[in-house]
Amino acid sequence: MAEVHSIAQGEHLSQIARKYGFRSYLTIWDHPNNEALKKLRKDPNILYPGDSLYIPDKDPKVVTGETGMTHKFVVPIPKLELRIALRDLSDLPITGLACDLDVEGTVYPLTTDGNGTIRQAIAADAERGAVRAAAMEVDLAIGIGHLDPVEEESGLRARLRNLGYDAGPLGFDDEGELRSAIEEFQCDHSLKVTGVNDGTTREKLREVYGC
Amino acid sequence: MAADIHVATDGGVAATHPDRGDGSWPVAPATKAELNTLRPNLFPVACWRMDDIRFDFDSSFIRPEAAEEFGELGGLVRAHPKAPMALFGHADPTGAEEYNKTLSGRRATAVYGLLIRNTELWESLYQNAFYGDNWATNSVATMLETLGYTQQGSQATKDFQKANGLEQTGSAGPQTRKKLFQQYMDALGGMLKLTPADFLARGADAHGKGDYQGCGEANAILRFSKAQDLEFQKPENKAARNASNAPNRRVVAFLFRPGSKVDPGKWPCPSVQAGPAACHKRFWSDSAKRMGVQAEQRKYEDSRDTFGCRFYDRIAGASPCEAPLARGKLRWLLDDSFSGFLCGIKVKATYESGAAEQLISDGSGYIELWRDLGDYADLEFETEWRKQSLRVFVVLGGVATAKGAWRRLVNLGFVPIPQPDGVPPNDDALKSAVAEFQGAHGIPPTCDLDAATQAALGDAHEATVARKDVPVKPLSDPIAPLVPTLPKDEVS
Repeated sequence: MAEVHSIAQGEHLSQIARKYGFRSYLTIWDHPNNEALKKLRKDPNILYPGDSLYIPDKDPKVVTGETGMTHKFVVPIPKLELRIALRDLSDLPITGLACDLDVEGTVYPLTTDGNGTIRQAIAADAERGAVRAAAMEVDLAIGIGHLDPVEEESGLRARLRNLGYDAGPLGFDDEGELRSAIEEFQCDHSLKVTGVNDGTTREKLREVYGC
Repeated sequence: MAADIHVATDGGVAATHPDRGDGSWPVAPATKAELNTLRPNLFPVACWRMDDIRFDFDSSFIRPEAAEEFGELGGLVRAHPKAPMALFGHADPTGAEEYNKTLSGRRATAVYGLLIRNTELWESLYQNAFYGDNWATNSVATMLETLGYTQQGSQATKDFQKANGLEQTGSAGPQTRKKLFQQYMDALGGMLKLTPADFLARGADAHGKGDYQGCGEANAILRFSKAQDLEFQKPENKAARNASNAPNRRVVAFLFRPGSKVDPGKWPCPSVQAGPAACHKRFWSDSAKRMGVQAEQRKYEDSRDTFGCRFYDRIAGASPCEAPLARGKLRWLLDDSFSGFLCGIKVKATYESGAAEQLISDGSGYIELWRDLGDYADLEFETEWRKQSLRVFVVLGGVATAKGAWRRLVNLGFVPIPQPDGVPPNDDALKSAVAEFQGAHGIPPTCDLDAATQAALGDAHEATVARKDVPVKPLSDPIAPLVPTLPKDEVS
C-alpha cells in the first residue's frame, strides 16, 4: 500500500528506499507525488525531520521466460558513497593522509587524494562512523544522514561547525557565537560581512561545504 | 584528559579551558557529487594571563615579580605538553590605535623572547625605544638587583661583569646586556624554556605571525560608561583613568589543542611589526558599538560584547583568563594514610567565611569544595579508625611564592601544624616542609624552593589534591546560601 513517510532525524532517501524494499531511491524520488519535496530539498540525501515523503506502491515487474534456461537480470542500483574532504586549520586540503574510515564497525584504511578527499561505498543503512588519523590527532565521530538542509538553521549551524567555524565549547551556545561564525565565514569568502543568515551566505556555504 | 587547573596569582591567572565535549559530525551520504568538508576548529585547551603590574609602567620590560606567573605557565605547559601556544598582547583604549598596537606587540614580544630565551628580541626592544617604553631607563638596574648585584651605581654592573668574565667597564654594553638578559630570563622563567616549535605557527614567520601578536586596544575587557569617560577626559583625572584601565593592559597566552598548527600566511593577525590595518578586516560588523563608550560601564565577563576583534573573541570566548568564573568548585580527594581513599564518608566543611556544609565523598573519594568562600576550608570527618580534622587551602597563589608553596605543602600534608595559617610562620617552617617534600619526591634536599622543587610541587598538588575545577557558569545572582548549621538527617 502506498503511504506517506514522515522523515526522522538521520534518515536519507537511500536508507528509506531500502527499508521499504526499493532497489533504487529514484523510484520514490522521481514519483510525481514527491515533486514538491524534490523542489524544496533538491538533494535526496539531505532531508529534514518532518518532511513528508510519498512511498509509492511497488510495481512488480513481470518477466516471462522459458523454463529450463538461465536468465540473467541486471538491476541498476545507484551507488551510495561517503565522501569526506579534510582540511587543516589554514583551510588547505590535507593530502596524502593515511586515515581510517570506520563505518558501523568496519574499518576502511584510506588515504586522502590531492584534494584531501576520501571516498568509500557504504551500505544504505549505515549511520554511525568515525574518521581517524593518528598522524594529525584527528578522531571525528560522524553521523551519516544527519546533515540537515542548509535552508534550515540546524543545517546552517552543522555546515559552519563542520568547517571549523564554531568557537569554544562544542556547537553554538548562543546567538553571539552563531553570529561570529557567520561573520567569519562571510569574511573568509569575500562576502559582505553582516552576520546575517541570508540566501547568498547559505548558497556560498553549500558550495564551500560540498552539499 | 589533563588535570584541570585554575590558579589566580597576584599578577595573573593560569587555567584550563572548559572541556569542549564530544559530539558527532553530521554528514550527508552521496549519490551524486555530495562532499562533506571537515575542518577541525582552532580552540584553546588552556590559557594564561599576565597583568599590567608585571611590566614597568608604559613599558614592555617585564618585572621580576612575574616569576610567579611564569611558574604557573610552566605548570600549565607540563599539564598540556603537546599543546602549541600563541601570545596576544593587549593595550587599553587610551591613545592612538597605532601606538597601542605597537606597545601591546612589544609586550607580547618581550614575553615570547623570555619563553624561548631569545636575547636578540630583547636587545631589539632595548635599542629601539618607543615613546615611554625605553628599556635604557632602568631595566639594567632592575635586572642586576634581581640577580643579586645590589651595589650602588656602576659597581653592580662591574660586579656582574667580573662574575661573568666580561671587561669591567661599569656600563652595560651589548655583551653585558646579552649575559644579563640570559640570566634574568632564567631567573624569571625557571624551568619553563620553550622553542619556536612549541608555538602555533612553529616560528615559521620571521616576525612571529601566528606565534605572538599585539591586539592593541581592540580587545579591552572593560569599557567605561559615558559618565566615567567624560570624567576621565579631564586632565586632572589622567592618573585615575590609567589606573581604572589597568585590567585592559595584559598579555594572554593560549595553549591550543595538541597538533594545532597554522600557516602564518593564512593567519589573520598582522605581525608585531605591522600596523593595525589588517586587524580591521576581522573586526565585528558592529565593532564601533562594541569598542565605543556606551551609557553603562561594560565588563567582558558580564556582557561579552567588549572585544572589537571577532577572531580573538572566538578564541577567547570561553576562556577563564578573560572572563573569570564567578563561582567554581574544586574537587578534593580525601586520602587517608591508613585507609587510602575515603569513599562515602560524611564530611563537614567549614569555610573561612563561616559558611558550612555537609558533604559526602563520592565513590572515588572526592568531595567538591567552593572556591569562593574564603581561602581555606576546615574539614571534619570520621573514619573507622579515627576522627580527623584537616585544614585545606582552596585559594593557592603562585607556586613560586612562599605563600603559594606553603599552601600546597599544607594540602599535601607536609606541614605538621594542626591549623596552619595561609602563610608560613617563619622561614624555618617553610624550609623544613620543603625539605620533607624534597625527601618524599627524590629531589636534592636543598631546603630551598628552587625551580625543580616548584615544578614538582605544582605537579604533585595538581595530581593528588585539587584534581578537578568544576566550572560554574558566571552568575549575576548572589551566591547561593549555604546551610549554616548541619542538618540532622543525612544530606541526600
